[in-house]
Amino acid sequence: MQHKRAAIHALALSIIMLLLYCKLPYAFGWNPATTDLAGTESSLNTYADNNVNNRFDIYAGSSICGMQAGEDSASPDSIAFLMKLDVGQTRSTRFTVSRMSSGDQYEVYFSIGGREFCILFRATEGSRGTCTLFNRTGGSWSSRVSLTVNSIVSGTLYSTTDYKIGFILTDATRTSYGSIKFIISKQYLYDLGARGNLVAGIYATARSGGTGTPGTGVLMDRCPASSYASWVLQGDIPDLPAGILLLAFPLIAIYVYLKRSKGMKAYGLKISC
Amino acid sequence: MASKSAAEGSRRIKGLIFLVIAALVISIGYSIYRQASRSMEAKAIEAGLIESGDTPTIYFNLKNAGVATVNYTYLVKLNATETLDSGLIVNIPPGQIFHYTLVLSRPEEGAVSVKLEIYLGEKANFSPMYSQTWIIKAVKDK
Repeated sequence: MQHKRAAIHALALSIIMLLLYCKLPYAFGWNPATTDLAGTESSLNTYADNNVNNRFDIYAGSSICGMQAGEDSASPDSIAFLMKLDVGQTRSTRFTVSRMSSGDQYEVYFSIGGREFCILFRATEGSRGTCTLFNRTGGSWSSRVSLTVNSIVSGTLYSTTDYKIGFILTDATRTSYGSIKFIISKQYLYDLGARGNLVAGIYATARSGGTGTPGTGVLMDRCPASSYASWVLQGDIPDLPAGILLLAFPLIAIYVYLKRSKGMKAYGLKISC
Repeated sequence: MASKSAAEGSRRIKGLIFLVIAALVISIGYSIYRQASRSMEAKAIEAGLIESGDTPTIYFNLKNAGVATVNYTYLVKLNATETLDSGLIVNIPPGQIFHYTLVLSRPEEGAVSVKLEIYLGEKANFSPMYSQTWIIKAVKDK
């Protein structure tokens, strides 16, 4: 009788877990909230609010972090970097998506487990541009994923169809900073060789006249002004995939059930009655 | 007689439990295998159009099937004239894959053609290594 119940419970659990596994939306939780990143309270240059180059001004100060970072723990996991851009007196002097110029380039550099990465956004005209993730192989940057959006709307999340990278551009206003947020899949970073939970060598740059590869164009600002920031992730890259956990759960449930059942001993797969 | 049938039933239940456990173990193994393998393994270029509402998306996955690190150039044209996007894909090591996605806006009426060309090297020359054209129609014309 108990065997029957155990079998029924195991079957029911398996079906529920498999259904959950199949039904889980792939992009669940993909777009983590970010918080200020310690060590980014300075920037190389400061432009006046009415200066035409103010759109490149990374908004940092003695008590203001110019960058934010965040991670989510849902499946598939991702990490995010955000750079703040200064407010401006007019739409023509502050960062606005519709008024980007060709070659405006915003970059974030970081390394995980000794692997160096750069993710950048390069505008090709107002409301249009390309976000690309690079990693460093053999001393030179190598393109890995690219996402071009033809008609970008401020505050909207854009991502590749398989959620490898994504970005959100947000207009600056007279009273609130603008931002460029990059989102990267932890699983994809793992595929590219990133290991561990220490993100080091973090800094952001803003450039004019960029060509879409890291470090091209004229450096307009850098945050922090010199050196780098670092950040420890809550979980390694990647976290244990939730799908495997879901599949493993019924196994654990069966084991516990059989172990607790009266008159049954379960050691691994050996069951004696 | 009764104890014989009870023992037989118990064996059947045990068999069922083993089957469930085996199925789960196989599922876990398959899940790990799926994560480790790549659908692009046998192909050099995989490209397509995803028709999703007002934002049709063109993508391609480009694998360097050669033995040396190479650069590529891509060009996306609208109606064969206007350049929608172009770029340089730098330093792809042998066996590695570059992933590209272009999010477009659906035309309000009629249809547009979008042509993707991929060239080996840093310039768009006369002979693309890959060329593909898609037609994107307005929703009301679909």
